[in-house]
Amino acid sequence: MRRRLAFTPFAGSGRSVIAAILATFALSSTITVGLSIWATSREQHRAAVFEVAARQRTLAERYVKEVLLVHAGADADPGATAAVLRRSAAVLLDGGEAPAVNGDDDETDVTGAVDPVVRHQLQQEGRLVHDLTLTGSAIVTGRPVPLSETAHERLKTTDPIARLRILSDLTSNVSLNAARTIATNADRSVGGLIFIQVALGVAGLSVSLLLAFALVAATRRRTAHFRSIVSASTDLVLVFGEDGCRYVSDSVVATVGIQASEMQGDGYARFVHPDDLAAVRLAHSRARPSQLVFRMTNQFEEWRYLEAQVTDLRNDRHVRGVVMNARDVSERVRLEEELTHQAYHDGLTGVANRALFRDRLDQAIALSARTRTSFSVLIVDVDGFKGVNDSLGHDAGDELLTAVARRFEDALRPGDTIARFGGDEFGLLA
Amino acid sequence: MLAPLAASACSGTHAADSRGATVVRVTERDFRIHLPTRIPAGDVRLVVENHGPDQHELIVVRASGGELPLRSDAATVDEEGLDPVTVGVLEAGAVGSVRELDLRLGPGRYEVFCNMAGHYLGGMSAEFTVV
Repeated sequence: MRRRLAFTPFAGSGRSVIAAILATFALSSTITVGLSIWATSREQHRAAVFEVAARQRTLAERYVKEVLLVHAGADADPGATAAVLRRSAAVLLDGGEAPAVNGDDDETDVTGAVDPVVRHQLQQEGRLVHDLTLTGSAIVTGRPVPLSETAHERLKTTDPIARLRILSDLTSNVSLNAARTIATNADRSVGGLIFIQVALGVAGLSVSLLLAFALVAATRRRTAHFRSIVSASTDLVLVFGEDGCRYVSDSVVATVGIQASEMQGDGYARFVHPDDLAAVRLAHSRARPSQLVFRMTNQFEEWRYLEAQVTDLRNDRHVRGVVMNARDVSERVRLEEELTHQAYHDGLTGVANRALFRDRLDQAIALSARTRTSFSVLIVDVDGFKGVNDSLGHDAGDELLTAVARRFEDALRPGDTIARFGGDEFGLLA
Repeated sequence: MLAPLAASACSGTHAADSRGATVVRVTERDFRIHLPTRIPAGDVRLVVENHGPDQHELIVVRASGGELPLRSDAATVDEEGLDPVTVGVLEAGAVGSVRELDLRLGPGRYEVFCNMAGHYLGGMSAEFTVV
């Protein structure tokens, strides 16, 4: 038969589960924060790249204006703008320090483009910037446009100014497209990051909830386990607080036939023997003595002897009370009483034996010495008793001895002692 | 369908689709358009691949022999003025996209171009003859 394995995770200690929950939260939070820092840093860098890429559009337009100004005889420095354009195009593609634009921004560190589409766009931009600045330079210096060196694109015109405008338009167009692609990639990246963070959060929460549920289930199992053990025990467990009995184990039904609910509060006092009640109250209010024997009535109104171990758990935050572990010792007590009785009484007549008589005699002597009172001792035997045994048998003899003992008892006062020493010999202490 | 197209791409010849239309592969890359210079008359399916790095349109017009008219921005072709000779238009396609344009072409000379700002003037046009 296939053995079914119970799923009992974390049955050992709840602390490890709580530690696991905290560790899960810490790990999840650390990864999320780390991702956020990494993403923020990356987005800051991307923003810088975006800014440089978008700036190329403005620079291309500025370059055309400056070339046209110089061409018209005005003062301008298109060469400086061309240098920034070319350097920026190269840096965007392969990384480095993007030059500052006068009165606009500072140098910016840029890493090279990785995305193949962006690289393709930036390569195209580089070719356009090369053609644009060569054409502009030719216009400024009055030389013919070196068409062989600006043949990256097959422009529709050979007019230098028209070529300059077209190349500027295309440069602007391509720069803007590259910047858009960078921004789109950044948006996609942020979207992915948000998804990862949400997934991490959900995963962390799920794992923590799973662990918490497992912990609760394990705790319930353990509680049920201990409850079963306590309930199945024949020992009676009572917990007393300031408001009386707070808990009674189910074994109270099996032990004395009383419902646990009847014992709650001060209800237990109805079932405790009046002579023992003070001792029980003292035990549960002061946790002293540590051991106690008291009587409780059962459903048949018989007194049962319970021996209780008293434990002070008032400072234990899980209990906050005095615990009594009691067990029924009625049979043992009765046996002890019987043995005690047998040790000091004559088995045939039930009156005191020689040992008890001697003890009482010692007490009487001591009392007499202390109170200067007198007492009397009478040693008696039954004449002709042997003849009774011999003629009527030992049973008749025993009957006679018993009758003699009863008569002596009837004749004596309650405080006096009648004892049988053995045979037909009796002693009386009065 | 893919096998004839692949053959066309490699050999420069044309293939026919299931309807009997001539399939012509057109590629857009940088500011250039590549397609066969001679195409048989009749139903034609242009399969336009944009290899980037930018978005590109594809407009097919009957060629008049000269440059196409420009708008006042001097950056784009005057499409409205070309309406009477416009044969087909594909709007801007993303980088990496493959689009199809079905045409019925009579014999004659045609021109294809992209009218994104500056692209036509940047050289993004090509001519072909339908025979």
